[in-house]
Amino acid sequence: MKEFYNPIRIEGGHGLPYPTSILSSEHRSASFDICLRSWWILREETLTTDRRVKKPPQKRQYPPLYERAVPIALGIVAVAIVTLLLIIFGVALGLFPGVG
Amino acid sequence: MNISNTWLPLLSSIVSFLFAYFIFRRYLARRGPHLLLWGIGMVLYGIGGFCEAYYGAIGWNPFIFRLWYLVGAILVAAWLGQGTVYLLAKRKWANGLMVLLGLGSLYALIRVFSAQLDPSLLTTGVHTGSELSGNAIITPGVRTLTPIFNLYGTVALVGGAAYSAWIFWRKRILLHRTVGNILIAVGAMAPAFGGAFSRFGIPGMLYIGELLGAVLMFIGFIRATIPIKASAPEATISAPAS
Repeated sequence: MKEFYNPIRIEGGHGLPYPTSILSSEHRSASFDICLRSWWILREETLTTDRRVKKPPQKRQYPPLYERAVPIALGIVAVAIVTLLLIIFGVALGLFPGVG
Repeated sequence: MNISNTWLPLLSSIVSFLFAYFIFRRYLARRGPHLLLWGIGMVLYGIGGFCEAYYGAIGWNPFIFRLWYLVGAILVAAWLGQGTVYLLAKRKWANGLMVLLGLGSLYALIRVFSAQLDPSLLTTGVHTGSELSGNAIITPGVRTLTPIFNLYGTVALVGGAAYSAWIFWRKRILLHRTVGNILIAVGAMAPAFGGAFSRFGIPGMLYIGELLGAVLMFIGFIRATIPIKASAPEATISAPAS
């Protein structure tokens, strides 16, 4: 065996040494096919195991202070803007005749 | 001359011009029509504050009054809001609204500078005359422009800032922008509430509201443009409660 071709090492697997120089093209093709099948089975098993132990999706969060403060602030802003719009409409419609 | 009717608006004016400088500097670095319009809006804000300070320090001047009413009472909120429209809306809609705002501003300019004035009316109703108010305008129809522009400006500026903050909060990203937008929203409402309180007879509230608004929007802008450092991480990762 002068040299080896290892298609599996590309994927980070262990690899199966495959002599490329001493086999005919036919044999090489069959061996290569077996090699690929083995690699595919190993890969599928690894992925299945990974999926099994995979952690649940994570949710981003602000620091605790902001987690509480931001919705409160946004609520106050929402109430304030509605109040302001009511005042503007009131002034525009002349509901406050005694003022500026 | 006193603190409430001279120094407060003068301070508002200085803060506004400083804020405008920062916005224009960012505009030169990054471009974008929203920055240009915000910069113009803050210049208008500054001019309005200067006119109020002038009135407090020196007294009545028809040109200063008209300038104040045009930029401070009618245009400032709408132009600031238009910047937010350019930031959030489709360019086609923003351009259309910009044309309307431009034409409306031109119409307001003509109406305000051709209106008849009576400075003695500044002290009528709930007003004491220490603050500028639209009461001095006696030509009908001019003052009805104000709520239209302010409605548009308030909805666009405050609503846009609150909407942006909500979007960032919902996605839990860019904490500095969430905080900055909330400050901008609160700051944008402060002069409007100040004006409302002033209308209802609480003296000094307009100028306090304007100063508070300029400061809060300035802080909000700075906060929104500078990411929060690692010592106070903008977002942490944690597993969901369920």
